[in-house]
Amino acid sequence: MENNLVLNEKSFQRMEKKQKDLGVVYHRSIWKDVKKEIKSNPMAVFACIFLAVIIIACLLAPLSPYDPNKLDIANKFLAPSLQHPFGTDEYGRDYFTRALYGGRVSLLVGFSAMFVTICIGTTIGIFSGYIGGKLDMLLMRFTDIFLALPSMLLMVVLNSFLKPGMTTLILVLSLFSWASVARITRAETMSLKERDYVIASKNLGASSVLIAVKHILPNILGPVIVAASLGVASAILTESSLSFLGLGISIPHASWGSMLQGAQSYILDKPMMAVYPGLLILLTVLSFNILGDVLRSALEPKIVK
Amino acid sequence: MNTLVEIKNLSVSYFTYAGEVQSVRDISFSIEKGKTTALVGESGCGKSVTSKSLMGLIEKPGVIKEGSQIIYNGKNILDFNPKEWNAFRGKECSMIFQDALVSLNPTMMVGKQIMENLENHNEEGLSKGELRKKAKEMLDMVGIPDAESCLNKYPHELSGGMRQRVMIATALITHPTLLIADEPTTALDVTIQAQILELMKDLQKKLGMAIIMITHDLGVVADICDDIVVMYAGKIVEKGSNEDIFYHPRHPYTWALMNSVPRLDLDSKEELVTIEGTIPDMIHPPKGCAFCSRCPYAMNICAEQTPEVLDLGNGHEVSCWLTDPRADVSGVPFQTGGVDHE
Amino acid sequence: MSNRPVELEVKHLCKYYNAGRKRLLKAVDDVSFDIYKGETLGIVGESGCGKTTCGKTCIGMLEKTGGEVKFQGKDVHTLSKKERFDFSGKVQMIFQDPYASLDPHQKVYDIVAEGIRIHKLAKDKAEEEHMVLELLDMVGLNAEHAMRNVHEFSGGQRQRIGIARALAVDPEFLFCDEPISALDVSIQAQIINLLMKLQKEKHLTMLFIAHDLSMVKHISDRIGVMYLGNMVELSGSSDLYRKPLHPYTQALLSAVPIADPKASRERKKIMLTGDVPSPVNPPAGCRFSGRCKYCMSQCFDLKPELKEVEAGHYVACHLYDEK
Repeated sequence: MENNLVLNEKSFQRMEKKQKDLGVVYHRSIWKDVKKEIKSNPMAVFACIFLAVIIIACLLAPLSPYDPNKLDIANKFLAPSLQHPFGTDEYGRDYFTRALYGGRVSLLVGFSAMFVTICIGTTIGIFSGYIGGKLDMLLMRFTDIFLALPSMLLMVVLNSFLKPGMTTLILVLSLFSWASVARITRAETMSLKERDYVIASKNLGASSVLIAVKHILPNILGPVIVAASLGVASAILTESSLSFLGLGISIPHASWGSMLQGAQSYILDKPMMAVYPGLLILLTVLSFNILGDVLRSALEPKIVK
Repeated sequence: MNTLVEIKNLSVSYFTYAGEVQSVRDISFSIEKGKTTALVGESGCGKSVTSKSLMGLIEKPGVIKEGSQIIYNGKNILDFNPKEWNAFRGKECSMIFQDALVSLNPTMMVGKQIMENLENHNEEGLSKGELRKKAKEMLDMVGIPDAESCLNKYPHELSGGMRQRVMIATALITHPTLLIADEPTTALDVTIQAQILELMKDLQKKLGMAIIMITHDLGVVADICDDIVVMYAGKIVEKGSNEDIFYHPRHPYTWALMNSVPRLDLDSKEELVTIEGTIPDMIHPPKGCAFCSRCPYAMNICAEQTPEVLDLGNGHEVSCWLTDPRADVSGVPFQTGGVDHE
Repeated sequence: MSNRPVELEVKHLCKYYNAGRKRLLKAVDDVSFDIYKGETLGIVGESGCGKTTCGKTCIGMLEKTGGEVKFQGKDVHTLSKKERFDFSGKVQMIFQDPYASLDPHQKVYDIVAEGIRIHKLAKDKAEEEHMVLELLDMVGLNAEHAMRNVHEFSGGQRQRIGIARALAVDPEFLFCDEPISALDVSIQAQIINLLMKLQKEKHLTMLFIAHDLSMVKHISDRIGVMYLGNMVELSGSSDLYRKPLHPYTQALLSAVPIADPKASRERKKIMLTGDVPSPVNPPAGCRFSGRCKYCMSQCFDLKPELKEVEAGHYVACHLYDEK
């Protein structure tokens, strides 16, 4: 070895002890993991950008110069142009504006239904998993019933009985989707409550509520976020199906599903009228699904040294 | 010297998402024929990576660096092609692992697993019956009672100690010249561990293979090993014969390691010697001596420059600045300086 | 020794599990011992001998099947809710796996402060902070560590955090369940030194469970040896090594490798044959009978009782029956 270091009298003196260093440290946070995972997957980047654009565009819909519900029969079935990027529909309404307003409805229904679903599902899941015993049995059979029901059929029936509207739609959607979330959180809770840190907390005299809020909830967040992302996608899809069947948002308000329904009659002459909302549904649902997958792989436990 | 394998300037790195982890950094040592060499060190010091390189088991993201050499029978095995590797692995060199339940195939009968290795290296063209006879002999040799019926059992039907014996039989059926044992007794209870160690000593006498023993249990090392290589943070800090290392350690890490375990046969309630701090980050290995940050006797030079290897004779080599005549050795509880003991 | 006050009194403790098909797994079977105030009792034994189950049952983490455990005179299995809460302030536990025993989503400060908050030991935020920092200092960590996430720490440091968490409620009794077996050799010594130092400072009573005999001997005042759910020998720690009475203890001690080549070569090892029988169908009579080389005819039928053979040295073996 080349001895290129200048040796002086200090070289062989005992080193002064420094502050003990922490040793090997890799900073790692959920957010960083997600960012890294998204960056490594071009599909995910596309999904994120697309969702961001859609959400911002829908939020900015009122800036559009056209009223989405105002009839203008003179200008019906206009071809796409600079004034009307998607053209106009059979009543002369700007199709682009309607698509944006429809997106507002679809996304609002999607997010709200997801939120209600997660709230119900997580609460029941944690209760069932943490307390266990008879309550667990009871709740899980109840959950099984909901999982076994032909949900689409019942939703159609329910929607035709109840007063149509956004709130009804959201509640009906959540009623039939909380069960799978409950299953996931219950399974996670069951495994978490056997962990040493939960037992340690119990040994310290912590109450069940404290353990559920402080230790279990933060640790099941990962799978819940994934379920939420997939939940938005399926809620949008179901809402569109219901609207398509005429059971969702009432006329004249638009949603992507009801736009598809309207386009049905002109599918041969004006196929683009069906393509625009259809493409929007497809891409939005696809993006949420991709996002869910990415989150799943980012949040799944990794061995970190 | 009766050298079987010579490892020269071996460096292995793993490319992970956090950066290049330099698991093994330029180590050289040799293994004598028929002797047992121990690789000792804490987890993450590179001892398992070293043994994997010997078996050609370094896979992506791991890379063996340019300039590394492992000489066996005059050939550098790192240049082997896959066919040569297959002939070498299992035939010349076998490996046993910590957890027999994981390394044995749970859906295959014990007899078949033992014979499989033999079939792969069946140069004499033995028949099925002869292979089976050999497998039974091997099971007898590793001390399994009623070997005939054991051949038709599945691994989960055997106890932990028996499984370990079966794994040893599988490894030794081809009479390899080198056996790598990666923490073979760590998962076992002490009474079973004693049986397995006794068995390994016994088999070495009978079959004459060299053993590389990877372990962190100094008791096991003292019991069965002839030579010891002490590794720290991917480097060899000291190597020598069993007696040299245990009775005349020259590196502060070796010394602390020896004195951090309480002795069952001595009555002492004194504080144990500890090594403060934790192992360094192998992504940014320290510039000087790797042990510098945890060494109570570290000098200024230790942080700046890697100490050179000092040969004390008899194969006892140490790399520490304390052996330099200019070093400040006040309060150092073990022998320093460049001259070895008698 | 026996005139010291008894902190934990275990009498004929049994813990059975249902192993299916109407069979019982007798994890702990009729175990009795006392732990005196201020001492460390070590329990050793091979895997599956029931030492961890025994310890967990002793501090009321598991329901018992039979027998009695009294902590400071009170039966730990029949505590009222209020008594249970007070008990949690007196009896704490150190876990085996430092990676599983700390909540990965909490900061070190919150982990250590949890006990203080639950038991309302601090008047205000400032006092709580002071207490946490004092605890961290006590276990060899500093204030800078308090706001870090758990995953930034190594195994040994995590174990220190676990110890700080247990000490936060100022317990009198500490149950250490293999606290060092997941750590590296050089780190093990750090934790053992720390536990011994804390015991001296805080006058803790400890139940220390491990399979590493030399470490147990180093830290314990007395050692109990368990085999297949039974306590086979109980004595002072150096006494046990110098003069093991039970044939199993003799074999166990001789099998522990000693980190000294000469001593290791000169030592005579007692090799045990066979494997530990299943606790589902343990042998009648002495549990060790099938592997014992001194086995007599009565060993197969009659279970030996744990008897005091010499002062403070208990053994359960027919070899020491009075003629």
